[in-house]
Amino acid sequence: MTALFNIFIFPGFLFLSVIGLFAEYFDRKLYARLQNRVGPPWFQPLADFIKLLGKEDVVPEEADRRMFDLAPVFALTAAITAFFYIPLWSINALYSFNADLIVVLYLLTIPTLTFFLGGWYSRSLFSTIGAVRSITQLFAYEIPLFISLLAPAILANTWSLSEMAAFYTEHPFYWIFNLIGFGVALIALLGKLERVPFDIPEAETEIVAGSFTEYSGRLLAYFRMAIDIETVVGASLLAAVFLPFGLGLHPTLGFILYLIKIFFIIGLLALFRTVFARLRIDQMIEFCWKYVAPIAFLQVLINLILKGFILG
Amino acid sequence: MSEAEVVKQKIEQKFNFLKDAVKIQREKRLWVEVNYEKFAEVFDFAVKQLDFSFLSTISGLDEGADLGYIYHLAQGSGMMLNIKTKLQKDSPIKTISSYFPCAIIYEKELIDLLGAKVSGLPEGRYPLPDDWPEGQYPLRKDWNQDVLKDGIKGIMEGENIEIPIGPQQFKGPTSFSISKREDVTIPIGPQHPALKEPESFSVALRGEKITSVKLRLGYNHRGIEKGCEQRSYVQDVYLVERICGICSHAHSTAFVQAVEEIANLQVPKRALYIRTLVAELERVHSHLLWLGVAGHEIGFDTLLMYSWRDRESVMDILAMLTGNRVNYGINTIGGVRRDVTAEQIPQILKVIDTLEEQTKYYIQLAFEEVTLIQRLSGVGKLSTEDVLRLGAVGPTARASSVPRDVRKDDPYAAYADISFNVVTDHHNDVYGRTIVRMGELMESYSMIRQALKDLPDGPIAVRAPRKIPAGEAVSRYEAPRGEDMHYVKSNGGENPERVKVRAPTLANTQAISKMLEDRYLADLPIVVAAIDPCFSCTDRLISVVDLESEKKGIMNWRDLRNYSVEWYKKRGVDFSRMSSRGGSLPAGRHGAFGGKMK
Amino acid sequence: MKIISKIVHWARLKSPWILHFNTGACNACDIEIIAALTPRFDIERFGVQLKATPRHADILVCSGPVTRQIRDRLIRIYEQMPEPKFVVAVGSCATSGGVFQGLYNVLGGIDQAIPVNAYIPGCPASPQAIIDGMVKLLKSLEESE
Repeated sequence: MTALFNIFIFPGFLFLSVIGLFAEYFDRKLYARLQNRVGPPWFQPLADFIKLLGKEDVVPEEADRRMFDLAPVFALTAAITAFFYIPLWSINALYSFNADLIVVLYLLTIPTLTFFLGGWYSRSLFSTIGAVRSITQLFAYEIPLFISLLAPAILANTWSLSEMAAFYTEHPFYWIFNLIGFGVALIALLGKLERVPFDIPEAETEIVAGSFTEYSGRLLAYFRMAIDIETVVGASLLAAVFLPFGLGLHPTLGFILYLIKIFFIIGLLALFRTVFARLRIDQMIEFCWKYVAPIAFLQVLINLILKGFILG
Repeated sequence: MSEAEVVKQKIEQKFNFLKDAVKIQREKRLWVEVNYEKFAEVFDFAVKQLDFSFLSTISGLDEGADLGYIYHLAQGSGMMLNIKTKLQKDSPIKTISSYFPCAIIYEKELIDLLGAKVSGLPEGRYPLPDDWPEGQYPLRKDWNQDVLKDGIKGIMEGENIEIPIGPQQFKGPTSFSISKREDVTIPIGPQHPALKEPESFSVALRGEKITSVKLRLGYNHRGIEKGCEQRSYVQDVYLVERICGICSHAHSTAFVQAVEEIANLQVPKRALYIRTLVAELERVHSHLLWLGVAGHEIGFDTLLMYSWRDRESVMDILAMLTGNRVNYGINTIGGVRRDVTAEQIPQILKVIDTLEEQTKYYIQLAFEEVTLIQRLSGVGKLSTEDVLRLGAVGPTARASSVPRDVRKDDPYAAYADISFNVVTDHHNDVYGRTIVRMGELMESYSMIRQALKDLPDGPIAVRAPRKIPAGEAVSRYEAPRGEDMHYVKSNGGENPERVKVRAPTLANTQAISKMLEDRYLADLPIVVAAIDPCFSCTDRLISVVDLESEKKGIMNWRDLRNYSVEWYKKRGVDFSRMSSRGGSLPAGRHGAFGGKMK
Repeated sequence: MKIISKIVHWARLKSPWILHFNTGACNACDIEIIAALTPRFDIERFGVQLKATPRHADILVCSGPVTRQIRDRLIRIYEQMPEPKFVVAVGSCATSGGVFQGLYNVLGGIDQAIPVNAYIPGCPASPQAIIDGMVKLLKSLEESE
């Protein structure tokens, strides 16, 4: 019974949806303000979602109906499931087991795969091209993201997120060693969430042609919600791995601290989208392999050295 | 002897059947009428020996039993020679496209609208739609448009229109030589189950590179030239203004200039200065608009936001001067309709000062921002020879070192009295066209200041008669996009006999295929945008054929633009993250009259 | 359930996504429509977003008179929009054919091809008028339930 409550209401589906919608608003408002515009009101993402639910469903005749319909559902489910293994405001996540970090990372890859599948099974020429492109870009960010997340795990000597949280609570301030990794993970997460052919901050006036062109109504609403939730889950993951302090506090304080952490990260992501203007990214993939991935490896190296020689 | 007399003498000496036949209407305007048997030699002489190397357009006229053809030729110096000839209707006429490839589209227009029988042209029609009934030539005097009332209905009138949505197959164009099969079935994308719909661009690819581009124009063909004949001169001023919403003043001025020339009206100096003022303001707003559109095409949306915000201040001035942001309606036959007051002048000068500062930033951006340079350089190359051969005009031509500018070559309005430079560039590509437009912005600011400083006193219009005396005239105007040409013929009545308009974009579209030769599909959006085309931006369809894999597809302009932005992102050119913070673009500036921009 | 339909109705009014389509205009209205999206006017405050495909749009914003060659395409695009959908005709040409009335290639205003819910006059319609028209349309929909 409690399990059902946890999964569907708090901190599961309902809670995630609410935070997800708010995260979208936060991002769009910040972005608009930076552009000297007023920006949307707080309820905008909710209104968009409900409106889409109420729209007539139009499905292209040539699409593979089953995959077309299921892709958004998979995206949503995977993103939500990943959330359960992440310690939020206490040391133990809702569920945990050894190596749940790896599982979470794979679960977070699934949404991108569903974007590919959705585009592919739309069976329209240019949806296909967009879908393939989104998969290709996956290779740019996944490796640095994985490596940077594994580095703190190495230091904590475990592949379980909850045990990592316990380790860092026992050794306060150890998380400072991981800050390089934090930077890398932020960039990689920025890529992961942005790489999505569907740009969340709707200040952009166009959707990049690709996976979502054929989607409308309910299914589009699910995809958009999946992206919002993925943002929150990604931010929570980063908070759990790189900012694992204050986890032993009183639950309410811990909850507030958690919210502050994730909105800090989401705010950084929004800011980065503008700060990145000055850094000229030479080639997305080249950049990641030339700089981001090596720095991630550096972090791993540092952690290995720390573990082996200094902290014993 | 004046220049015109020199040319007259040369022609009359060469052809004695033309003794005293060449008429000098005014400085820079020569007219000669030739029988068709002698036409070819006279034409050849004019083009080859007298260096009339530019063809503005070919005007067709319905003259009862005959069709009249006027070939409007020009020298680099702006001297125009208009060669008239006529043939019986239904008599074949030879194409002159061996001299001027750009003549192809002008001759297609003659075929479609007047039923001229020009032979030797490639397939494809212009400007009428593909389902136009046979044998109907709208510009013929005896044509009645009731013929078209074929019961076209909308979906509300109970008619069930079968619009199939879903996978469709139709026989594609066989104009690209695909060796194995005759017809190719095309999988059509979901948004455009196009059946009767011509694509605007047909692109043939070999691998990733473009081998040829065919344009299908005429999307916006409304029938304005015929409409002009059915309305009075005064009404036509407003109709012609709406040929294009961005260069509306260009068309309206070109038209009234032609009419004023026919009627021999002495337009007051003050009116000419006001026309020039509005003309340069229009150029400013048009170039700023172009800057934004170009930025948008390459994925640099911040540039769009900035340049259009700056452009708003120009719109404010135009609204203050003329009463409307667009389609100013300031011209009337004989002068202008509204005056510039003393209070308005300092306000205008203030805005110009601000804009000049802004433009300096944009110029800096163009010279320093490596990504921009990378994206625009080497793209859309057009050599000087190509420009002359294909008849490109405006900044497109000037970016290839061709100093062709009607304001200098054939001054109209007050341009003879205002000093300015013709901006050219040697890069021959889209980057060059950007530089030219930036330079022209700076020149325009200087011209606006001069016009305001030297604004002469006096009336702003002379009375024009209702009936314009018989005659004809050619009027040229340097629109922001290039030479805009109007030919007007009057028969002494209240309505014109014939109005022929050749907008600059038509001249420039001939060069697109050459510009895209051996480039990538991803370059198409910016190359087309770089000629600053005056056709609608939202509904162009592009069909793409890959000659190697024999795959075909159709995409719309947005898809192509996004494809292009992504393609370049992969190769390291990414504007999508540029914005105001920390960028080399200036932070928020003031609105037109000092109000802070929100 | 009444409350659910009320909520959905509210959501529809707050999140109107538009598709802009030019049916043969002189481009003046198009420029003004796009200008309505720029920071000075910022129509996105009302939740309006410009979409690229009819699949995602609620409101079809048309400019220009209907020419012979564009008519079928216009109808097709209208049919591809999922319900509920609305049409706004921007400018004098879209309303009645404007200055191009009677020309041989022009059929008339948008309502010669598809049903129109709101007409915004002007030649061109200024961005303020466009925003005003959109807001009025949304208000009228609000009151109609």
